[in-house]
Amino acid sequence: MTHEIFILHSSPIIQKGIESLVSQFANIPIYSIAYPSDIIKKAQTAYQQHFIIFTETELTQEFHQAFQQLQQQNKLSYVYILNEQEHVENLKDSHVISHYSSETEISQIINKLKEDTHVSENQEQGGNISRREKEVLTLVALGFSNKEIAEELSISVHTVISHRKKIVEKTGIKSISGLTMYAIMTKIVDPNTIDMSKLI
Amino acid sequence: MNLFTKENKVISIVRESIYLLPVLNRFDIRPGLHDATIQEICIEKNINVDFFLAIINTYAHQHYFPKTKLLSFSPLLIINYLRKTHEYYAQYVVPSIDASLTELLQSSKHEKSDIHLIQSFYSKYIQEFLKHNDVEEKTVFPYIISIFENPALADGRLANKTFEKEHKQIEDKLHDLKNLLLKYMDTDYNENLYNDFLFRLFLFEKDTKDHARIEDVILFPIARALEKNTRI
Repeated sequence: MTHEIFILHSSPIIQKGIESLVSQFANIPIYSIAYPSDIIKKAQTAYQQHFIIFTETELTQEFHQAFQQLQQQNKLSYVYILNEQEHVENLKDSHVISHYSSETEISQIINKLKEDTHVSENQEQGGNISRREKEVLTLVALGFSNKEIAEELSISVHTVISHRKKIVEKTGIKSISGLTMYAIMTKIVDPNTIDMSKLI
Repeated sequence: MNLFTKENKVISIVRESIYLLPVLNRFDIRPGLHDATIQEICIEKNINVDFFLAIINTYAHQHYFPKTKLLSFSPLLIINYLRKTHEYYAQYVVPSIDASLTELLQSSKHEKSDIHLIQSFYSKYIQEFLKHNDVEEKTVFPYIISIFENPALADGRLANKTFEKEHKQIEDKLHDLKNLLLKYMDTDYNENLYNDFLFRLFLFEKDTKDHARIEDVILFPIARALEKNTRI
């Protein structure tokens, strides 16, 4: 997962200040922007990216609405920039800096966010795959296409894709041949029923 | 993040990470290095020192990727480096992983154990990996060199990004291989031989990812820019 930083702030001085500080210790692309929609535009094709967003607190509501879709395929982290008078209540799960934060403090926050991403990358969702997912997996291992699986199980192609996504999340296996291997090794399918030379 | 500079001693690269030794070898640098600085050894070996530093720092630091700097180098320099890396994989790394897996297989008591399945998967993966490199060597690199020397020869063949997609598919298979080994394999094997095989795969994955990154983000964009200029 690669990282990108967005700085969304009404003050150009603060934008430039954070940009200048961050660029000294982190080799991460930084974008100073004026509206949340600028992130959406920039990130339209993003997949498995980690966006670290520095923002003023009053924009939170707008942010969460704007990023619902983006959040499905990417990780978003927020760092709130506070005035000295503002309170830090209601921001328990986020990171906070103030206009007086030192370079070291900002650096620590970014490093922590990057580390958290590594941890989440290494943790698959786990858990057993469901009966329906096993049925889908068996047909994948037998070389069926999504359309053929949908017909065989009388479900929509969309549902097949959704099951396959879940299987990948739970097993941590991405390729079709890898999933076939998984199905054999966990005894979901009998190796004698598939053409090994073709499928693996 | 402390980047290497030309004033640093070459030995400091190896001290920082022993895994950078093969990267040095690709520039024809071998121990004993005495106390030579990076600049001194680059002059002696006729290496472009800025290119050397860009590559070494890319491999040494996960988040360092001097895209603008790398884009400024000649494609000939990059291709020469990539070819040496392909040669290193084909001549040394793949045979050594093969040998490690053969030993692991021999430690398994049953003919139909999971490790035999792993071997089938690994063999297909390696075939795919070597074939991909072979196509690059025989058609893609010569094409890029030809359009660099004579832009009129460009035919737009790199436009559809086939090679980047293949890199992703090949990376996914290696990722799967590691996961299958770590999470789902039965325990009918010698653990030390298993560890050795897995260590080699992990190193191979890191190296090939950096290698593919240099192709995807540097070489192909340079080549596409050459193609585009011709069409204009």
